[in-house]
Parts: sequence; C-alpha cells; structure tokens
Amino acid sequence: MSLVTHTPVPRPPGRSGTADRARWRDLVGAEWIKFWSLRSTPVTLGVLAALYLYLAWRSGGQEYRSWPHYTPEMRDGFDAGHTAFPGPEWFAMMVGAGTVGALTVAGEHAGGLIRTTFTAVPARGRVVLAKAIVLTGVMTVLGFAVAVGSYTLSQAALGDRIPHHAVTQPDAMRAVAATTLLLPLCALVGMGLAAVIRVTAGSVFAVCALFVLLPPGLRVTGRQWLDPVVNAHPWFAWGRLTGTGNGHIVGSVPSFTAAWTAMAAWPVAAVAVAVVAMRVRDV
Amino acid sequence: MIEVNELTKRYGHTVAVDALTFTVRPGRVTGFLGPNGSGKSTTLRMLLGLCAPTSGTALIDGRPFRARGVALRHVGALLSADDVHPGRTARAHLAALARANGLPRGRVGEVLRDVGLTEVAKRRVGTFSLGMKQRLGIAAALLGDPPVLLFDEPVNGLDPEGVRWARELFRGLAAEGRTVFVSSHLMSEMENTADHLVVIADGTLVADEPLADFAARAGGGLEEAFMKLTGDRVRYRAGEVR
Ligand SMILES: Nc1ncnc2c1ncn2[C@@H]1O[C@H](COP(=O)(O)OP(=O)(O)O)[C@@H](O)[C@H]1O
Ligand SMILES: [Mg+2]
Repeated sequence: MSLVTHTPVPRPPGRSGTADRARWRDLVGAEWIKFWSLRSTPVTLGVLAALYLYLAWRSGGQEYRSWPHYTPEMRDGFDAGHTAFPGPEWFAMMVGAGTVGALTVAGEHAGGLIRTTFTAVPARGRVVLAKAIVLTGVMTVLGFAVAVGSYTLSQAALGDRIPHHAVTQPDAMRAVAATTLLLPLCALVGMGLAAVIRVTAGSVFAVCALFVLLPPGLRVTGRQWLDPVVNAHPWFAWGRLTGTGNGHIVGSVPSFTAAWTAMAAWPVAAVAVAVVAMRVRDV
Repeated sequence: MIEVNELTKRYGHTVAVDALTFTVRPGRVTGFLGPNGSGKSTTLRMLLGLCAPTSGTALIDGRPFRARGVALRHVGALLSADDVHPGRTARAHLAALARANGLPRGRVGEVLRDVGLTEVAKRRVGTFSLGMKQRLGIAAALLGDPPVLLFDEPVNGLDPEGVRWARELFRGLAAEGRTVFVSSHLMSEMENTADHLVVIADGTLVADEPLADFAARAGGGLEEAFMKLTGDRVRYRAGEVR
C-alpha cells in the first residue's frame, strides 16, 4: 500500500461555469449514499418494520381471544385503528425512528465528519435540507409499508369472529395516513434535536425524553389548561388520528384538524431548527 | 492564493489567533509552522468557514469560503484524520463527497489509487490505522483536483515511507502551480518540504519568509531559528502547569 511517486491528478471534465452551485440532485444523492452505507441503518429499519407487523398481528389475535368475554358495549366500542396501532407499543417505534434521524446528524459530529462535509459543501443549509429530504423519503415509504401491513395483519387476525373494518373506510385511511406520517415526523424531530445537542448519547436521550417520558407526565388531572399543549404532542395527535371506534374517550381530545396541524408542524419546526443550528454554530 | 487579513479568534479569555496577516502564493509549498496550541488549526478552520472569526477576513482565491456552494473543485483540505465516520468504507466516504460536488464517479477510484488505498477501499474506516486514515483524508482533498490545498499536520501517523510519499506529493502539487499550505509543529518536517514559511507563536505572526532566509537568521540551523523565535512563547511546555 505504499506509493512513492505521485501521478498528476487529471482535471475533471468541464462544467466550470456552474461548478460552484450546490445542486439538489447531487446533495440528495450524497446523503442517500451516506444513509445506506452504515450497516446499522437498514438493520434498524428492518427490525422495526418486522417487529410492528408482528405486534399488529398479535394485537388482533388478543382481540380475537377476548371477544367472547366482551360485553355488548365493549363490542360496540371495538376500535380497529387502535387494534392495529396500539399506542403504548408504538413508543418504541417513535424512539427508533427518532434515533435513526438523530444519528444522521450526531453521527457526523461524533468523529469530525461534519468538518469534512462542510469543507466539501459550504452551503450548510442545503446539506441539512438534503438530509431531511432523504429521511422524509425513506421514513415515509417505511411508514406507509408498516401502516398498511399492520392494519391488514391486525384485520386478518380478527378471523371471522369480529366484524372487519375495511382499510378503505375513511377513518381507517386516516389511521394509515397518520401512521405513515408519524415515522418521518419522529425522524426529523430526532434530527433537529441532534443538530442542537450534537452528542449521540444526549440526542438519543432527548428523543426518549420527548417521545416516551413526556406524554404520561403531561396528562395530569387538574392541569386541564395544559390540554392544548398536550394534544399537540405527536403521540397524542397520532393517537387521536388512529382511532376508528365510537367509544368512550375520557378528557380532552383535539379535533382532527388540530391533530393534523400538530403533526405537520412538528417536522417543519424540527427542520427549521436544524437548519438554523447547523448554519450559525462553529464546528 | 490565500489571503489572511487581521484574522482574530477568541475563545473566552483565550486569544487563539491574534490579528494574523499573511498571504500564501501558488506554485510553492508554504509551511505553516508553530508550536502546539499556537493557533494553526484554528486559522485553517476559519479559512474553511468552519468557525467564524471574531474579526478579520480570510479569503481563498478572493472569496470567503462560505460564499461557495460546493468547494472541492476549488479547495481541498485535510484537517484531521478523524474527520470520517468509522462505520463507512473508504469508498463510500469518498463516493458521498464526490457525489455532493457533482464530480465524476471515476474520481473515487483514481484518488484511492493515488494514495495507495485501492486494496482496502471496501474496508470500514474504523479498522484503519492512523496512517491509512491520513491517506484517506489526503484522497478526499485531491478529489476535486483543486488549485488550493490545505493540510493540517498531514504526516502524523505516517510511516517513514509515507512521510516521503507525502512530501513528494506536496512538492508535485505545488510544481503544477497549485497553492499548497501545510501545517506542522515540527521544523524537521518542513525542512525538505516547504519553500516558504509562515511561522506563528501564541496566535501571532513571527515570520513570513523563504525557508532559506529563515534558516540564515540563526546562522544556518532551522531548528535553532524556530526555537529561538517561538521558544519564549510556547503555551504548553512539558512539566509545567499553565
Ligand atoms: N473550540 C475551542 N474552544 C476553546 N479553545 C479552543 C478551541 N479551539 C482551539 N482552542 C484554543 O486555541 C488555541 C489554539 O489552538 P489550535 O488552533 O488547535 O492550535 P494548533 O493547531 O497550532 O496546535 C489553544 O490554546 C486551544 O486550546
Ligand atoms: Mg492543530
């Protein structure tokens, strides 16, 4: 692996006029290469997808077994959406997706790769946006696959004992759409947190704190004035949108519009924070 | 060409770089010399827009670095061998950089060959020795075939043969008319590499002159000249609490 003489480097062909502009196609292509060239990324995404398809199947199976013991009111309140997307079990998915997003930035800070990246592309804002585009694309596709797969499997597990609720019903489609959106939301929020925190362990902890520790802490009786804030939390907003039952919901729930608004606002705010944080700070 | 004018960087009470002014011209190797902690890396980071100067300006070919969108065709740089992700292969690391700058894909194989890493291109960088990582960093700097090149302590961790290879590389790049700026804290490394020296101590300029002139100051010995000029201004001395 030694090399004693240097062969002159040939000049790359042409394009000198536009060579200075960072082109979106190239930046997204570069981030795409980076995203998939870490072995842990496809493994994490594959494990998450498989796990949640299994959990949906299991959740449908539990309903199947419990159905004979349900009272008529409980049967009337059966919720196909929450059966496919059981809220408490989805905390881990939110953390997983958030961590994948956080690592796209924290991984660059861990060594000093960020300096190499910004030395090659001084247009920092575009680098961050290219990362966000890749994350959004990958996580939306994954989210859609998991959402449709989970819903279908949970329905299949109901057998002929429980009336089915077609995925084409408007409320089922809403549940699938919200779940599809939840994954890129969590990934982009993770990216935004990592852009501010930089350190891997700290970023992952922040993801856990925001997505898992915060929701139970927020919903406290006697603090109803907090409800609009609580309802804007991704987990509560998503939970609202995935419900298809006509059952007994206790306490304050957001309107569907409010829930959709919250789910759109989180990723937008996260990307804005990431762009600003990465542009202004020394690396 | 690199133009640094009254460049200053403060970290709290530490003045890392103090009103530094110098010019680095093309066609020769310029050594950037100074003891540990004298502000070399900070100066290079400001040149590359990685940290913002407290005051002053740093221009490369007449433009602040961050005025460019992509830079590899204009400026190549190796700041630290660790500025890579250990989980990626050498090839993937370079492929992403080339792609971001719209460089032809074939450049990756070419620079890997230039630095002698072809055989380990598919290995993860985390398994590399320091010397191999230095070579990878040099490969990244060469990707865009740039007219200006910056190297921060590039021969750290290289074996003697690697040191000689790097020296030939820098001289060859300068002979092709490029601006080559190489930092070091060891005079001996610059002795056979640099044509011109920019010497700093404690963040301020102490010499900016041809290597021969610098040597003549102390009656021939480069090492002595360096020690004499910087000796009383070293920030971190062995066996001393600062
Ligand atoms: N990010 C930073 N925060 C605080 N101090 C710093 C930082 N970077 C460098 N310094 C200080 O600035 C001075 C110059 O450091 P540096 O540029 O790394 O020197 P050199 O590369 O010549 O060894 C040192 O005193 C160092 O401790
Ligand atoms: Mg240094």
